Amino acid sequence: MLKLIKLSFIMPFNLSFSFAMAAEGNFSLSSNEPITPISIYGDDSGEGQAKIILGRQLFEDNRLSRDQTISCASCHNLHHGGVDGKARSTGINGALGDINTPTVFNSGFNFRQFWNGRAKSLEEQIDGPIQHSKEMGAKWEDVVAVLKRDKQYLSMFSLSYKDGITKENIKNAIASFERSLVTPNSRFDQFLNGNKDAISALEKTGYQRFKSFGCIACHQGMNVGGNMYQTMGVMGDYFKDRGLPIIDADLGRYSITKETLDKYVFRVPSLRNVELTAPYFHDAYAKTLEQAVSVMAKYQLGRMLSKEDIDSIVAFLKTLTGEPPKILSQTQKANSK
Amino acid sequence: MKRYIILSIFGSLAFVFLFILHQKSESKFTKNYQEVLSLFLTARQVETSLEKDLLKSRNFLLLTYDSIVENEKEVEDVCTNMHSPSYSIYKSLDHNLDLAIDEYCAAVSQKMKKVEIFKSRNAILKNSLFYIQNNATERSNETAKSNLGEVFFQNRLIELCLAYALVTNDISKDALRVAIEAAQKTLLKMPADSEFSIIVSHANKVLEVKGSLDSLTKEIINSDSTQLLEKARQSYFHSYSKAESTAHVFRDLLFLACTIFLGFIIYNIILLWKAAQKLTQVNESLEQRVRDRTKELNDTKETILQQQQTLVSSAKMSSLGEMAGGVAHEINTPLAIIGLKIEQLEKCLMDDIINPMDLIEGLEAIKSTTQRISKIISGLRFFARDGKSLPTQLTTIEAIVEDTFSFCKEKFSNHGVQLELKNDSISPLQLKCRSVEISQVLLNLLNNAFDSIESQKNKWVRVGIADKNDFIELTVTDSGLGISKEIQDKIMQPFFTTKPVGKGTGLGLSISRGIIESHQGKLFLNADTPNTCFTILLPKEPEDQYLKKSA
Repeated sequence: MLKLIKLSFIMPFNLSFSFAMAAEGNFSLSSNEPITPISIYGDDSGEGQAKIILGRQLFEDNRLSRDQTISCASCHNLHHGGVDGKARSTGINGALGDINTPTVFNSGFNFRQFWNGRAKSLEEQIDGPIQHSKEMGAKWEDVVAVLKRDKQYLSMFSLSYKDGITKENIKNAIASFERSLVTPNSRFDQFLNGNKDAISALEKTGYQRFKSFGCIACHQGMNVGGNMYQTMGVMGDYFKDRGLPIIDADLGRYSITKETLDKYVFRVPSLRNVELTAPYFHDAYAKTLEQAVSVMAKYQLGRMLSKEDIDSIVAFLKTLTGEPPKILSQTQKANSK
Repeated sequence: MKRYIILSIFGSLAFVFLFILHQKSESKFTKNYQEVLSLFLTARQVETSLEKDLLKSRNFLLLTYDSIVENEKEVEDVCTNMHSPSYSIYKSLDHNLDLAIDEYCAAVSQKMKKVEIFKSRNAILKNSLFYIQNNATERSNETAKSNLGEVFFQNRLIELCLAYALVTNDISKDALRVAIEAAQKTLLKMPADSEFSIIVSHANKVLEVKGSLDSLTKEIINSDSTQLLEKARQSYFHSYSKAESTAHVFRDLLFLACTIFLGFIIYNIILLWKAAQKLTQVNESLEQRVRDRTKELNDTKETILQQQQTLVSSAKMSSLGEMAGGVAHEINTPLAIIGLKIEQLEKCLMDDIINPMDLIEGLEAIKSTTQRISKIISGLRFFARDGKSLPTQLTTIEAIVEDTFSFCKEKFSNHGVQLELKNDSISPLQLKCRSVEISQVLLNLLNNAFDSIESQKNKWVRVGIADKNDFIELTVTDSGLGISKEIQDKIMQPFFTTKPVGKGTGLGLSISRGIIESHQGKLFLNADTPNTCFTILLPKEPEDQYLKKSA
């Protein structure tokens, strides 16, 4: 079997065919599209829903931080694309974070969490902000102790978890909620699902440019990114041109692996709802989408884009804004009951 | 019996336990074996499909990395599972398996690292190739603006880059590389616009990335993870068969134990059955014995009753004997008087001093004495008769007392015992009774009193008569100091006696009581008085019928 595959690799075949197809944008709306619509949702079972409701309450609970002033929702604004719109978010005691807050929406689709991908799962990710001294600065045992004093939490946890309030269960509940934060049915998804009129001609041109310019090489898949690592500055020295001193947060995966190869390597962010998540990049350097597209083209693709191209690509990117997660309206109803 | 039941229950429990253990050990083994097998299979499948996806992606056949990411996650899950306790049951048995799994997982994580790099590099290469291809198309559309040489070299570079990106043969690759570098130089020498340098830098990227991507792909596909997986699988099989053979012995032993316990249960049940049979037999013989004993007891009771009857009559005889003694005494004195009188008269006749008055007086005395004797004897005959056959008569209690006194007066006075009659009634008290029986009872009480106080200094016996409306009360009180409480309850029982052996029969009081009760009266010991006092209560007019019936 393996040999066969190797053979097929060695065998020269007409690549230019598919290559040209992609380049010229003569795409058909088949599964061959590099972007796929959102088809996975949160846990719909009753048990899952209970966890999600509990997770939401925890997500919005200030008591998870040391001085009980910050919740997950403080930075991941659920009514604003899952981000706070700031360059750097404010943690406890007014401390500024080191890196731009990534959105919590569709984060369950990301293959790794954090800009540098240091967490393999959402559960693992939660350890980060909860314990980070500049973010929520709490200790798990304190969080568990505080929550245990709340009768409502006691009963909600006992419903979903055999062992009640524990660190693992808190993380699982929050992660369950986060996994339900998906934004389906964006105009582009509708287009992919066969509704050719869902996006305008300009937006279609934007998509073609997006593909032919090579953006698609990294921003692909269901989450339009979020499934690989890439170096910031493939075709140019972004950090040198930026003119700001390089801090630890700029090193990307290097700060975890300490391998030179991993310097400035970040998880490729998802472009879904990108319209709502300004400012852009880990250092929030780009304040607008246009700026972001132009910087990306220059340093990642090694080309200068015309204003026309940028505008069409930005127009395309805006079609990636999906419906707000269903769960937000649902749990609000549940809470008001 | 109980022991067999307990042993049977114990045996059954042990059997069930061992049987379940036996079944479970088997299912656990096969289940685990299947699980681990499927895990190894999954690992291989996922890795293969990952490699397939990489090659597809490399050749622009796969446009997203989503499936690769999925496979990556699955491979990681497999490694996590391999370290979970349910898959490591043989770890304790075989250290090699542990090592093999660790090695495999380390290789997999190395491989995944390379996959990540592959993804980034592949994207860069794609991008540069996109650019070159794209640019070539645009340029050739604008040929009019450019000079021919430019276009030629540019197109040559593009072709070379594309060819370079696609070849795998090392020799042609090197040749292409030299050609590309030459084309780059030529292109850079031309008075060109800024895009030339960009094309050149993209070509550089292609040169740079392509080489490393190829070696990376080779490394990933030729990763030793496949061999290590096979090694781990072999190692697992080895430890599985080792553990399995041990478990087989264990299972056989369990089966043997099961069989033994089954035999033990059967043996116990047989014993139990036998014991039950034996028990039935014992029960039967026991019942027979009880029946025999009951019969014996009944027989004995009859004998005792006969003996008792004999004893009653003998008691009667003995009291008769006693009475006879008394009678002899009673008669002796008058006989002595007669003898004396006759001697006197004889002497008078012999001396010839016959005074007719004296003679008459003497004869009178003899006559009266003789009469007295005959009275005693007639009384004796009256007494000796069986009272029960007699009908009831209307008589007075005074007469009965007097009659009774005549039998014992002499005996009492001879022994210095004062016998008194205390009659509280003004008129004689009439009653209907069998006077002989009442007399017997009274005599018995008097004799008992006499016997008990014989040794005392100041001796007396008092008989009291009192009228109690429908009843007549007859009391016999003696100078004794009563009867001790311990024996009070017993004195009325047959054969109870305080008299020396041979002297009393112990039947006196019980018979007396029987007699009085047959007269619808009562005989009891009056414990309220300081002296010993027996009381007889007799109805003046008992019901005839009852009396007759009892007779």
